[in-house]
Amino acid sequence: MSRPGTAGPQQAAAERLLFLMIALQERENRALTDALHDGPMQDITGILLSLASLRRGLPEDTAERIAQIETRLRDTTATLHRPPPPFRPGNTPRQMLELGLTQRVEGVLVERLYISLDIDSSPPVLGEVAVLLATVQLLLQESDPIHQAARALVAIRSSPEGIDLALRVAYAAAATQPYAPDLTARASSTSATPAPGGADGPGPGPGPASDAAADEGTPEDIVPRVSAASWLERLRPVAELLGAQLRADSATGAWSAMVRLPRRSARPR
Amino acid sequence: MLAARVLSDGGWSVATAGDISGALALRPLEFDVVIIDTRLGPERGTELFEQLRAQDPLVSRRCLVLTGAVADPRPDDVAVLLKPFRADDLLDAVNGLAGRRPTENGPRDGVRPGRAG
Repeated sequence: MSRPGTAGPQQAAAERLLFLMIALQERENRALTDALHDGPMQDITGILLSLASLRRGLPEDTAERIAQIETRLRDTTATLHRPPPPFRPGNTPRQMLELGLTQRVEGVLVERLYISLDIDSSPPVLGEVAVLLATVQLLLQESDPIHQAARALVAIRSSPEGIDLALRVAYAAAATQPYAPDLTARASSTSATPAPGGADGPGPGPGPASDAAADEGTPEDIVPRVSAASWLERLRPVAELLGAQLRADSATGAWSAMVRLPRRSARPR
Repeated sequence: MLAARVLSDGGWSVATAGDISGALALRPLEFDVVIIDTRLGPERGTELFEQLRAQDPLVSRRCLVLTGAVADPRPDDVAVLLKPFRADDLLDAVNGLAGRRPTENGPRDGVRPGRAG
């Protein structure tokens, strides 16, 4: 979050925002779980029980087919169950981090996530876990609002003095570098409107190249111009806010961020 | 109600309640099996379970908790049936708790399992 010794009101405010972001995600997850339980899961259970009632009066071969449909419906619906939330009461800091990173980073922001946690001797408290998780999410999101990186490594080491977070991100050899405002897209005509967030928004903005290729492809067919500078410039303010030190390899698009969270007890008053 | 019908068709005598006080009024500890939904409107089925366990520490052996969410808090030592479930899943779970084999799904006298909640 900050270099050692620089903790202050601004850092506390930033940490609070990160904590609130995670709290909001937890709340949203709980609301979705409730909605799923009180709606579709109840309804589908009712359908399954009704099917069973119906099948009892049917000939054996037809009843067997209905029974197979019941099993398929149950098994398919079971895949919709949301996983246990990271911040479930009773979870250890390690479980919170592993679940949080697995559920909210892997498959969302990167294709494959590697996690290395050296935290057991001086484990982070709940607020620190939230800040660490949010930091990883925000850095990855801001580095590329569209594509997933191919691989990322999150390494966290905690000590009584502070917590060190290292994030290393790499892209597939044939893939794009992180999305940059000067990327152009083979966009359909319907996508040739400004993205909600402007040129840095979650989608390629309009441009001459996209107009020229309006009928040729989909918004997913993004063609990069080789420019690491623009996405790095975009990432830098967020990294600065998070107290992250950035390093980038312009040749491959790989980059890394280092963040240090001073522990409360080690911070100057 | 559909679950009660499934159990009735499976040979069980069933009593139902929609909230904790209604369930307690049925004297659930006298039943062979107690089925508890984790969500009873604004109430939590786990609260009913804790009240029953306070009266009978071994009640968990004949309780079945129904839940639609993996994340729902539930006691560790209780059988759980995750929604959505098939009628056969429910019958098998109840029969298992009562020591009846799945093939014994026909009517049976003298058995008083219950569904609370």
